[in-house]
Amino acid sequence: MKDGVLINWLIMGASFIVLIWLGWRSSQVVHASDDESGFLLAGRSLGPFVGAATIVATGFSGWGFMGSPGVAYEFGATELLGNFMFAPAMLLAVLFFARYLVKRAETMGSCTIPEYVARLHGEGKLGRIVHAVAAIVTIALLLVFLTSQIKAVGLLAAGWLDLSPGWGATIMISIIILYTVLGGLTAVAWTDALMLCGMMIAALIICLQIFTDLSPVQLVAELRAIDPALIEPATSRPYGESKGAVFLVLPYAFMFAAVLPFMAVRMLAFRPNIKWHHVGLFVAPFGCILSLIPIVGLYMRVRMPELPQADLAMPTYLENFLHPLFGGFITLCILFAMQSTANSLLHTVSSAASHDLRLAINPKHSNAKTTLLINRAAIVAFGFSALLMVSYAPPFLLSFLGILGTGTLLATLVGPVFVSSIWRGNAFGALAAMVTGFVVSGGMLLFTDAGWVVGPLAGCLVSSFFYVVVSLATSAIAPRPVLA
Amino acid sequence: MFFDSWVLDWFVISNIATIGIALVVAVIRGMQS
Repeated sequence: MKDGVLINWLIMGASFIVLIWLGWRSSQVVHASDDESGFLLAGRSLGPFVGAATIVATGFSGWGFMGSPGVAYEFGATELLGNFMFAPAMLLAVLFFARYLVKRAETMGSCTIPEYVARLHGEGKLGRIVHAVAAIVTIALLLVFLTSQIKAVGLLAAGWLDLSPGWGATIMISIIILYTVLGGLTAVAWTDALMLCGMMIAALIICLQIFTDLSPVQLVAELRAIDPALIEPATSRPYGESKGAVFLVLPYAFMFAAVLPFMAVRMLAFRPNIKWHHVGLFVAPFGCILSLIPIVGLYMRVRMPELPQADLAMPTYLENFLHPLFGGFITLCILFAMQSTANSLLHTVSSAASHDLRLAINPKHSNAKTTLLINRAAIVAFGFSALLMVSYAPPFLLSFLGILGTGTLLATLVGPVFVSSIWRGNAFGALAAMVTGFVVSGGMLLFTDAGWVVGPLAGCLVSSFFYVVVSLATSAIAPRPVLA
Repeated sequence: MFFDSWVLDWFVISNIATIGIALVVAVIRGMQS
């Protein structure tokens, strides 16, 4: 075994010990609650720091470290702005949407987003149908995203630890399953907070190295000398052909943070007396710091302009411009960034099956011990199912699988989760919105050349339209619930 | 404005605005409570 690989194994082993210890400690929160909220919502115990950290760590996946620098290398500074838009989007969701979502979910006793959608729109059989549809769509689409994350984390771990990609993925998902089974959302949130600290240190190390070599003004001047369009682009490519297209990422990212079940469920997990502006004070700097990472792509364009593939910008940077120990630490942080999204996806997919589908089929409550066992068994089952699916996932377009899963789920749930906060529809409207959002966004992403942001946003518009129109058309047979 | 580049200028402005919004809302909410 090479010396460098031995150091990597030691770093990885130490991180595993800490992650499992956090999982074991967080299991106390699970057992302290007398209902499912202990496992599904961290016992509604998250404070501003951990809560903000888990929101930001989950929102900024490995894309920010691996994909985004590659896009910045190829297209220039536009990616810096596009990737940044997730920071204000998360802040706006926390400051102006979370309060409403949490208040409503608490009143209705909802532990998940599909359950929130169901209870908001109907009772009895119709409510259970809405619950089941929301849960099935969540499972199907997030499982696609989870598979792409596990594949990516497996590939990176394999290169770093000198393993086959299959073993890399198996080791990483096993650790995620272990601590998530132990502590549920508490374990996910605590490990996310630890991972976010690592990711921010990594971002600062990268910036320190880059800006001691080239000042920001020099970096801009050198890029301008290579190609003025890298700094002063006439379009927003790859986000669109008009200059303003990059700003479409802001509404997309806001919906991402406010609507997607694996993001929004974090807001339900805060302690009841939380002050959301305190959370915002953490979210803003966390997001700003992580948004600096794509600068690596711009730096590499100056220092190594002949890379065979833009996606190699970050790996080549780590190999050539940092001490192996720092390179190893940052690779660990990139794995953390992917893991922090993967563990959240696994928890959300599992709870959609073990909690939402169970209640949709049989709304009678089982005892707390049985439901905890079911919830934990679902984590193991879905974790290993996703690992199996990795073998069948196409070897390319990992980012596309991510967009397909999240973008389509966003369009599916935007009406029942977001529009309902302004204008409440009924169960038929919610069902119509979910079906049309799913078909339009999924169809545009799979079968047209519409951009990765345009497809889901078009799906959101159509879904919202049908939510309102179908609710109005059917209000005689299913009156709209009163907006309190 | 900062870098003679619309995209980098917007990047800087967006960073300042994000931190600014968090601070302003915190101050206003703090004064209300």
